[in-house]
Amino acid sequence: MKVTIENLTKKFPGRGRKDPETIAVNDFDFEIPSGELVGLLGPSGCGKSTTLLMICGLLQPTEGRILFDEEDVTNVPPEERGVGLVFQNYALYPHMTVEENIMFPLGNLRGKDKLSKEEMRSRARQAASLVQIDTLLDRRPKELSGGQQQRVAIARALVKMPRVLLMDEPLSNLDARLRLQTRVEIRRIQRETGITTIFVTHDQEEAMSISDTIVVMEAGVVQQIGRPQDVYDDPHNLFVAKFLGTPPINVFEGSLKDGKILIGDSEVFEIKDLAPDPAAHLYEGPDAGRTAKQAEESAGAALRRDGVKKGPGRLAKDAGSIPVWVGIRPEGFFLDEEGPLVCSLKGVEVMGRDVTVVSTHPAFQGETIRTIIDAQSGVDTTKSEVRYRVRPGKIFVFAKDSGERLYGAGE
Amino acid sequence: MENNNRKAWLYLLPAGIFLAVFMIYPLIDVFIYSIEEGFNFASQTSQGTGLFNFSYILHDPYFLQAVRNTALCVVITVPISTGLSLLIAFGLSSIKPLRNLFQTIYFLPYVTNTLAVGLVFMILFKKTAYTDGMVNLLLQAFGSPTVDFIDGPYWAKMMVLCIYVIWIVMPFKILILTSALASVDQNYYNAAKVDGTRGWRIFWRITLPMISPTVFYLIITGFIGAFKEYSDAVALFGTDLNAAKMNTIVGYIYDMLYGNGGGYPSYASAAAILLFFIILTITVINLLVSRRHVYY
Ligand SMILES: Nc1ncnc2c1ncn2[C@@H]1O[C@H](COP(=O)(O)OP(=O)(O)OP(=O)(O)O)[C@@H](O)[C@H]1O
Ligand SMILES: [Mg+2]
Repeated sequence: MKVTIENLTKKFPGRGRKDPETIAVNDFDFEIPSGELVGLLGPSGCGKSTTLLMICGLLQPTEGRILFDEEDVTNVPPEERGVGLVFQNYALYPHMTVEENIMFPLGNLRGKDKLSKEEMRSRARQAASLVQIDTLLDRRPKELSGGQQQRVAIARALVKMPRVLLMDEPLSNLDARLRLQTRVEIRRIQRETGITTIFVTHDQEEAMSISDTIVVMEAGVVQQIGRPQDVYDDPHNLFVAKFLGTPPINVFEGSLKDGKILIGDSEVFEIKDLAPDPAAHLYEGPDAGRTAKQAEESAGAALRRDGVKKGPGRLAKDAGSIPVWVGIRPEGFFLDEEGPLVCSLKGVEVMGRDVTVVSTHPAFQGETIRTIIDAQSGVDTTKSEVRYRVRPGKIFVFAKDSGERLYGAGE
Repeated sequence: MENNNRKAWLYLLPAGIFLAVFMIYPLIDVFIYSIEEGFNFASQTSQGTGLFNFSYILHDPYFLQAVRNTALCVVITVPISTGLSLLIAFGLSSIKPLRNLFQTIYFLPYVTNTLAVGLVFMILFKKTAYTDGMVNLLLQAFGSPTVDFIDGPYWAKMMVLCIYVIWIVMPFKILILTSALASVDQNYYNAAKVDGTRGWRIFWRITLPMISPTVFYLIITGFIGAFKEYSDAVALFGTDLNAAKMNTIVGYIYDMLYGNGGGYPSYASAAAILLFFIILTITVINLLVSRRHVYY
């Protein structure tokens, strides 16, 4: 089942003068190919749940359309959409056993779809064995661990064979270990069933590890859509760059002059090929099927909603010195006695294969710079300073005002 | 540990003393009265002990009438008032506008004096020299014969009493049930909606089980309250309930102590003990049933 979202917008009315209306989701355009697992990623309150609730039909969009394959379901009530929803807190019925919980959606079928008790049983057992809880069928939810409850919730969502599976932060109640284990499980179940799945999370690592495609949102606006690795390697703006990656990207205040990236007075990187056109890659990747015209319209929408000209900036050779944000990934540094970036060394954390070097720099935005260095390269901890050179492809330049990327990655 | 225990008992002592003086001692006293034959208040003497008092009241037509009235009242009012309250509370929780107004309206009878409510019922049901009462006027309008609800046939009086009791107890039940309904997590309803559950199935399979502890609480307290029915009957039929054939067990006990004839503490105690065991039995049965249907 292919899911298409067009200009999806949700506004919640405000409560008087002090509380203006909230635009929870703003002009969301996206097409999810059949059978993909999409991770909807963003900080708290960015509109992930709202998007999900609109797709399942519990919330009516203010504007826009939702299509399942070619069928417009925007005004179809939730029960007729054939979606399975896994709630953040699972919402398992506490008075029913696991089996009754899983069977409950089947009991709603009417008319020609009506199942006999035996069929319901066997379907429930099938779903239960898919999530490996066959031995727990007679328990009640409160007699289960968090991870087991979560599997019951998935089984309940899967048992009616939904066309689309929606999951709202299903792992947020689990401890770190179980979370790791369960997300692998979710990936396996999704692959086995081939159901188009949308998975909401605010944990970037989680989204990166299980999604075919990730959608990064902030304040109701989609920031970037793409394969996880592509989005990481090629962030379109400062927000996306900062949101993905642990440890996070190191951001410095810097400037751009004559094709050179400066931090303080030191020239840390020279841009070889100038005048890149980032618009060329804005909409490649997962939604390559989309027409150029659509892409153009979306880019236009991006401009409209920001009110400022946010579009891809071009770097001209004679631009003079412009102040910018310089972002360098932790793995984008290597040690060099003669390196241009001079930081004062604070300490070293050995993590086995890698070493995390903690240092500071006057132009750095934040507490400490964390860089990941190969353990072999050896840091002289007796010195008070450490010098770096920057790896190509790991340094990005962002506009000071809009955060739009001016330079980076493959350019 | 040992020390802590001793402290706990020490802290409980004041409450314990009060309970002993005002609850346990009278209970024992009542029990003793009930088995003392021909106890005389003035001389504080009795003619012996035995089950004579119980035998007497069980052969007293007034007592049997009172038991019959009370039982009828319980059997009719508890299910109807609980069911109706559930319906109204469910309705209230599914409407948004004016919910508070309706809640207030439904709660009014609870804060109104029983006797004032009695007056309203008089206007509705009583035949006087000037009017037949509102209900009779309505009956007339539909061309059916009028009935004297207050001094007329037994079934009519019983009906008025039951309506009265139901009306009096409903506000409290509605209040408790609306708050129980409001505390059911909205996510359960959302989950059910996504799965295409129809309204009645949501009610029977989700809402009702979720609020079942509250419903059982209301049923148990409803039974106890209805067994102790007295003041409502007085408000409707006056103090001479025996004459009206509308006496209740508590009314019988009161009459035996202070009523017209008065001065029969032994019979009153025997009736009180019987009432105590009836309520105890019913409550235990209720609890046993609820254990099989309540999941918390
Ligand atoms: N019913 C509502 N009425 C008004 N505003 C709402 C309502 N629901 C959500 N919002 C607002 O819409 C925005 C997006 O909310 P949403 O629940 O989609 O966030 P989220 O991305 O799921 O966050 P989280 O990760 O914390 O769950 C928030 O600013 C929130 O305050
Ligand atoms: Mg959410």
